Amino acid sequence: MAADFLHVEQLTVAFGGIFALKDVSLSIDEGRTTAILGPNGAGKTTLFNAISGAVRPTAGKIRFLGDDISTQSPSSRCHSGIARTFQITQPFGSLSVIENVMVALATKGASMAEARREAASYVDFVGLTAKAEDPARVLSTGQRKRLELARALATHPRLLLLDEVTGGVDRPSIPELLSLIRRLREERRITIVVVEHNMEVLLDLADDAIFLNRGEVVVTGGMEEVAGHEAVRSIYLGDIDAAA
Amino acid sequence: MSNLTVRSLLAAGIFGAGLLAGAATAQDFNVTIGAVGPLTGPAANTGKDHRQGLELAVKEWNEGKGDYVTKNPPKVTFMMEDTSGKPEVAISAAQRLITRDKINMLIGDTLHSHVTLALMELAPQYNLPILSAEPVSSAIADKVKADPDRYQLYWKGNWNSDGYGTAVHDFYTWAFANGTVDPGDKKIAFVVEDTDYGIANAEKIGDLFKADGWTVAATETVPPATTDFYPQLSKLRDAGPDVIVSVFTVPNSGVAFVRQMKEQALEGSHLAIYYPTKPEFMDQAADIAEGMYWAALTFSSELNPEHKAFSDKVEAEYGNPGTYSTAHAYCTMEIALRAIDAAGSTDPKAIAEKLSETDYDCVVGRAKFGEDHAVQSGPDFIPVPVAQIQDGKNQIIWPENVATAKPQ
Amino acid sequence: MLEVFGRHPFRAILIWALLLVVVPFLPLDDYVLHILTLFLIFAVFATGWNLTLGILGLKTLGHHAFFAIGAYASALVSHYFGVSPWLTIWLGAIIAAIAGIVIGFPILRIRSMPHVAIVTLAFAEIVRLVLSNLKEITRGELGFWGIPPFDPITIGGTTVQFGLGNAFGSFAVAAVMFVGVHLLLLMLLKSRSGLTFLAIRDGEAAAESLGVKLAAWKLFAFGVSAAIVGLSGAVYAHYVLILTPTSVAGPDMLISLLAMIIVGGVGRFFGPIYGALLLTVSSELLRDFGDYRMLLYGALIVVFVFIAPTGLAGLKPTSWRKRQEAASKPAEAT
Repeated sequence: MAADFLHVEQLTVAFGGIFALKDVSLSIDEGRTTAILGPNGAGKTTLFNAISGAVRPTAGKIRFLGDDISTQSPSSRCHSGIARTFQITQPFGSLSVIENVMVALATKGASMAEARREAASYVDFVGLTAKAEDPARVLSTGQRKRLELARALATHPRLLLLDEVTGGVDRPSIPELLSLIRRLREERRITIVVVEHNMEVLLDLADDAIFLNRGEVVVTGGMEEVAGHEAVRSIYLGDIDAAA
Repeated sequence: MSNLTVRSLLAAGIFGAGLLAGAATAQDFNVTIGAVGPLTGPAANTGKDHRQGLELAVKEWNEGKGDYVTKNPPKVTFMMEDTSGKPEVAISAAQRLITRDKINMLIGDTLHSHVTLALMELAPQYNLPILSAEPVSSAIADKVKADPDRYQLYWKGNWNSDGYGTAVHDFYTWAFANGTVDPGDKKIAFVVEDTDYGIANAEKIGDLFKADGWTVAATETVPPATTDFYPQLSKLRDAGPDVIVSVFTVPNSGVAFVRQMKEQALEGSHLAIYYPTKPEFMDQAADIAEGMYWAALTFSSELNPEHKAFSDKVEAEYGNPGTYSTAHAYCTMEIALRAIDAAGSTDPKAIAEKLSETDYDCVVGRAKFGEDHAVQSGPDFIPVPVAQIQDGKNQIIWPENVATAKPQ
Repeated sequence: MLEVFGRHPFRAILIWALLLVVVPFLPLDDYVLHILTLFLIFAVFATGWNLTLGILGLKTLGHHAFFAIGAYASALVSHYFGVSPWLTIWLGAIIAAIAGIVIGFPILRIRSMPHVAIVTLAFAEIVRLVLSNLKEITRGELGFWGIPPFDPITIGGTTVQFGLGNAFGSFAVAAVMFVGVHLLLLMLLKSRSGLTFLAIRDGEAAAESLGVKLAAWKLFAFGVSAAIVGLSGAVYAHYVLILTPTSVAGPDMLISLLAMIIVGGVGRFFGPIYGALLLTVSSELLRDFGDYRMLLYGALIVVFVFIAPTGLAGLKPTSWRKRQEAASKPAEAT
């Protein structure tokens, strides 16, 4: 079962003549948390976009639960169980927090009343109940990240792609956010792939890691092992020092 | 409130007003006349001319300088509202005049046929005599003919759109016969603005020529106020017509067309409709348009002393010379005032009755309504003379009985 | 959705309905009823357009084409086939909806808003040209006349007449359409559809990632929007009884309707109603100023855009707006 979760096979994504991803192959195992590492421009977000369907692969295949999903639209991938958050958060600004979450539920056919009831539980889970009726555009960045998490959870995902989950979030809010993510894995058995610059966070969260550079996979393996790799250290060392 | 009560109230109001006016003094009765026309929008210039013409006629009438029918002419109150050239706005304007200003008669639309087609519906609804000014579309007359009873209060103060068509066709028949113009391969082409006016003229002229064995080589329509005609002209060059007819109501279009036609050195005889009546055209294009035929020289202060006198009168009053539109509006108002004067009351039926009997020589010609409630055109009524620009000046060359020069 | 609908949208529609019921009992003349009839027709038109322009957030600038399609379809069928306008107005709405869905397809593929604007604008121009060139059927710019008014209705011995000059009947038709369309649309938008439309407007990629089928929802919005606009066009046709391609599908129509939506509030449910009311009524009130009318009219639009940049509908919940403004900076950073 685990072997059939997510496979990326020889994936290439090119924009014009520029390769964002070149012949990338990787597997994600169910139930684990995998970190995608790499310097800016390594292709981490493009990989997310390719898996979630926001960009079409130039070549190669993506298999999820045994099905080839390479040509599916983002919405059908969502219905198959892939959810994501965005590096730059995209709240539905004119909707209230709870309505943001209801969008994910309503699109699956829930009535407004059902959607509202279920959405309340996700809003509560991410700790935004006090803000539930406020328009999403008044939220702080940390709150927006949590809102995106709630929205993604409402799609009942099996695979959750988290893009820069602590990016722009004020330092005191980070531990709370991390404990949320940990609970996702422990309570809901959601497989998580995370892009993150903060090495501390990654060491805390991730089981496995994949290191990308210039659109190619350089190292894969356990989190500790990859973090110890020379190429990774040379890029992230500054971060660790800065964090300390 | 049901519509019936609204109408009866309105009718009672008008009736009551009439009674009061009648009771006050038999010698002194008042009428209120409203007009609607395009005072804003692309045709605002013409609308302004209309207003001057209408106001001037009313002013003279009230100052004792009118051409009265009876010894007790009515005192006239006049007001004009803007339509922006849109039918629904025109109806707003007309209904305001009807309900607020309690007009006894409406002059409208002063320019647009499509607006008139909507306005004429108000005549039976509000029991109101309506006289349109410059609109020509035959569709209006067709509508009257289809239901004369319904439109018994509606009258059309201009000839039908086939007036030009007949004149242009008869002029060319005459010109071919005496060798002034060579019919060649008998091909005719049109470049007209995409309005009821442009299209109706092209269709009528095309039909008359086709009946004589001609073919219509091209009918190009352009939006009003177009100034780039190269695409149309290159198409005409390929079609090689022997006669080219252009119809624009915006003088700038005419200037651009004539200039570009000269650049492209198109062969064939060119006849222009309407735009050369505008002084702006002659100011800008008299030299490049040398030799061009055009219809219709219905108003010329250079050639016609009566027109000159009228234009001077307008100039003295408003500081700008009179145009055909000013003169036509002036005549329309005279026709309306004389009908009311003759009727001796504001009774709509009586006014309509007197309108139908109109036979009046006014500055643009002799106004007499036909069976279809439209003013008739032709040599005996309002003439539609064809002119030619010779040495930078307009000369009437047809019909021969009013010609001021021979064609060159 | 609060800022889109306000606090009590159904109550607001009820108030409108009550006001409209009272109007015929007031001592108003035909002129006022005519202005109000035009306001109601244009309010429905503007509301329909606002669905794609404001609620879905697509910069569609060609909805006057659907107005023309609805108007001509209903007018032509009732004229040539003798079908009652009470039936053909629905046909006009359906044909407009089909046209809306058809033009929706290419727009799905266009991500850039200026291109959406150009494509829809070009579509309207094509419709105008087609209508003016199908002279055998529409009489082109000569004007299509002979459009029958709505058939009279007899209720308890009183016969209600419709069409130009029959101010009461025409007002009643427009008022019923106005209340009906706004009520049904509000019900639709307060459900999943409204939630989804607003989500697409605020974050298309995010909505898609949450499982929203963009193509289907956008086509649905286009269909509904075009149907509403088409219906208003059909009612206009059987009221004014004359159509020309330029007067219904020309640039003037585009500009005045856009002005109504913008002044009223783009993307606010009740915005287009306020905009239509303000502009229709003020352009008539300004007749008292004679030659300065259009100048003042233009100035009025500018003033309203300045004092109410989010539209008249945006003026109401002040406390709401302040909170929004306080938080608008982080929103703009995204």
